Amino acid sequence: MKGNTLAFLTLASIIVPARGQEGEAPLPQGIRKATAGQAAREDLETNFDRGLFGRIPATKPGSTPIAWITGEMARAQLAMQLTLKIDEVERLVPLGGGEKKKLRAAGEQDIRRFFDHIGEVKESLRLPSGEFARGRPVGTARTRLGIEYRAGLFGSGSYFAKVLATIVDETQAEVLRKAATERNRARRRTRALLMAQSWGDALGLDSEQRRKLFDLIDERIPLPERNGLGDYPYLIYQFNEIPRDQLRPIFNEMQWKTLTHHLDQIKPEQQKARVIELGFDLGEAEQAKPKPEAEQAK
Amino acid sequence: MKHLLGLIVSLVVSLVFLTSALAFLQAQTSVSATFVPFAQAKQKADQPKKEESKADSTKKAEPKKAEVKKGEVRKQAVAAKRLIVRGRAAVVPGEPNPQVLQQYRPMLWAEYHLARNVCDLSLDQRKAIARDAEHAFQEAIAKSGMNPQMGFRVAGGGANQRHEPDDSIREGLSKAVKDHLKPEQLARYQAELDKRAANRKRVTVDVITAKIDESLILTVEQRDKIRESLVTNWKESWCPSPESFLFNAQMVPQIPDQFIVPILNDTQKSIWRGLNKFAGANFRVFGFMGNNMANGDTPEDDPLREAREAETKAREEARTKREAQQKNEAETKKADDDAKAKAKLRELMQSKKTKVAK
Repeated sequence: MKGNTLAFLTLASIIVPARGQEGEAPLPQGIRKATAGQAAREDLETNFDRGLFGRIPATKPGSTPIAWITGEMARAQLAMQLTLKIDEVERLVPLGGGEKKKLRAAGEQDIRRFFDHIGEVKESLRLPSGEFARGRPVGTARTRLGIEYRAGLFGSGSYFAKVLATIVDETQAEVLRKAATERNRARRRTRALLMAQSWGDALGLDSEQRRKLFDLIDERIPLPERNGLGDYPYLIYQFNEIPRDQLRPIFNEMQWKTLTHHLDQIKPEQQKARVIELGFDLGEAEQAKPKPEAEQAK
Repeated sequence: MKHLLGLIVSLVVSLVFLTSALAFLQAQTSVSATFVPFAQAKQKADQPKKEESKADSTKKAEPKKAEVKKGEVRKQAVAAKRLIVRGRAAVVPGEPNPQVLQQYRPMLWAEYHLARNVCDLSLDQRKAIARDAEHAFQEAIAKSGMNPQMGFRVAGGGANQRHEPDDSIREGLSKAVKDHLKPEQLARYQAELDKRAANRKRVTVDVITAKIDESLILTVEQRDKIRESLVTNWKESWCPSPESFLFNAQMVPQIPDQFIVPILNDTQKSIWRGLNKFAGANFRVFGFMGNNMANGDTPEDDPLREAREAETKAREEARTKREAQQKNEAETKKADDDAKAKAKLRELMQSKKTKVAK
């Protein structure tokens, strides 16, 4: 049995006893195989969890069954991410046994708080008849929780971050801050690169034009710390906010005609509302924007 | 008197039999003519079955042939009904689906404009390239047999190979461009294509590495090793469309474990195994801009517009001609079959008469 499968099964066996599946590695009881039409029959609350936590692919290539990640499984994954987070801190600053315990306890509290929050949201989506709600409010709530879940629970504002701040001294805090900034910057750059590549391909830009477009996106669109599901709508919104005279020199006439034609179709207010709905803090982004030269000189 | 009565009865019976045989033949000819396109569409899938039934009919007695044919006609009818239900019947086999053409047109537009931008093309070159590129583009989509439903199929890694015609379209367009370039233009164009491909791969690998890093909190060494592993073993089918990451920032493609897992520690391995992965879903070309372009809003220069109109017209004319020819052939065949059946009937009646006379 492969190492990864073994590790996965070990994890699963902690949560619930494993059971055998036909022709595949056994899946834990909390994870069920999805078949066509089954999802429709399941109750809406289960579907909510499925949409929130997602699924893991079949263990064999080509086999269609998919295992859904349950709440228990997600909780276990977050616990493992907490371990990795503590490991990362330990790599940068020395930690004693007691300090590690404190950090773990704080992280576990973050996980508990998140699942309590899911419970509250679900409760708010329950109709007076006791049935689970349907439609847009459910989707919006799930998206917001999904952003929170995927962005990681141990960032700024978390119990983990607060406890960490009490453990490390000023110099160590600076080391940690620097490492986090570097990591986030690398992640943000990949988004800018991807957008420049995609739009560059669409507009038939040559390599020099593509580089200029990337530099512009990288400079002018500061992504907030929290990245997630709404990155692309956010990038489009912010790109459309860049004054056109700053964009124009990059493109030839035909490319410019095409680009502006597309940008004109964006309705800024709608796009802004969507971006905010997806959990982006536009105030934070505004603050992070580079100031015009005149203002900087002041 | 008794002999005469017997003769009349046997003549009537033979006549009834021959009339029903003739009616059956006629019905079959008309059904075949109606379902020609559907039969062609189904031909590939039915090939082994047809061969089997052919072999069976050779083994079995001759009269079984009629039953086999009857079964095939029924199968064709069922297949035709399915095609209509799925909305595929509107497109003539061998012709590009108009909706798919629209979806992929941004790709043609981009390739043409890259060449125009990089090579500083003359008007004559633009006209020639636009004409050949449009033809290659429509041919590639026609050959792919794509329809809009297939376009949204999950493609990519593992055993699910992608079904998108992207590669064949790009190849066709690239050839159409290269055929009309001068050597120095060709060198510039090729260099730009190489840079673009390298950049695309680099961006995709960087994005995937960053995605994995977000979930597994990699060390710097692990990040470098994963990036190197992906660059060395990269397969396009893992992630056919990097734009997918723009639409779904949380997407982790289904990369085979052997290229990632050996670099991870035990905790990371467990998380990797339970990550929400996707088998490289293709969200069409160029994301947001591609969607707008596919709505038919893309500005075209004169050579592109003329080429599109000319190709569409030529295809329309060819189709009309082909349909007329098929109709002619079907009518000729029907007339032949009728004549043969009548001749057979005459022959049978003649032989009966001869028998009676004897």
